[in-house]
Amino acid sequence: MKPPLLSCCLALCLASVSCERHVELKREIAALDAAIKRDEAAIGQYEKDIAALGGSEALSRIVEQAQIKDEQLRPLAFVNAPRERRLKSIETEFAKLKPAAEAFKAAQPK
Amino acid sequence: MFEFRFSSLLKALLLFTCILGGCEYLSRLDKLKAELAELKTRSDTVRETAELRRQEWNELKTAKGKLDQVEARMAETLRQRDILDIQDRKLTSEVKYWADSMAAAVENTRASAIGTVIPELRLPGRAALYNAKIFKITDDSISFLHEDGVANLHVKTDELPMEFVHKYDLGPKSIHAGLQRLIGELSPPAPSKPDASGKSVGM
Repeated sequence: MKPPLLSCCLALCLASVSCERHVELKREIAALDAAIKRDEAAIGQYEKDIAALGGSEALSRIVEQAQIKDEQLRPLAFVNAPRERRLKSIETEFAKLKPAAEAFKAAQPK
Repeated sequence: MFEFRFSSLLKALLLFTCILGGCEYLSRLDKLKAELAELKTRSDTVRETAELRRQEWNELKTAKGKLDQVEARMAETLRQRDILDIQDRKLTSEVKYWADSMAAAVENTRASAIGTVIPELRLPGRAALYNAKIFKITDDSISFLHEDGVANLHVKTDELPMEFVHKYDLGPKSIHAGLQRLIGELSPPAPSKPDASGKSVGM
């Protein structure tokens, strides 16, 4: 092979290798860029969601509210169940007495 | 005499092109590497921020979920309490109506029985009463005037025949007493109850 042709081939090889290296770097850059955009979009969404719930400072307020409501709920739930049982028992007793009372009233002298 | 040597010029040109290309390649490589390093740093920062926001959002979401659950339970409990209130009021008014009505009926029956004469009243374990006249009826006894004197017969000691017990609604198991007992059970001392806003409200 003649030296000029050899030189040309060498130059082309070098150019090809360099192009390939650039393409690889650009691909890495594009991937990183996409990841950054994805993360930034996620941050934007989180911030929007957080703002919808009242912002970062709302956490302590929400936790406090939940505790207060929980404390209010406990005695209420404690009262309802026995009250329901008491009413049920009175209702049952009344269901027995009512027909007897009706019969008594029906039998009384006019 | 000048002689044109093509191969030398080509070699020089090739060499020059190679040097230029090499320089350009290295320069672009440096730029790309710098850009990549900068992006990596930025990516780390953005990822950390995203992670922080995610944690913050998760904490908020969990707390809000818990609050929503408690509020839902509270609403359900208050709804149950309202239902019980309605049930209580309805039952109380019905029992009161029947207790009043029964009291009037019992009073009427007992009043109309005063003066009734029973020719022969046979009692368990006692001598029979002749021409026994009812002169007083209380909640647990009937007093008779009879040929031999006065008899005060009590329900509790089973002196009275069941017929009288039922007819005049006497004794602790009477309908009237049962209704009065139910009224007592329906009106226990009311506990203070918090409303939806959490303030204590007396009934």
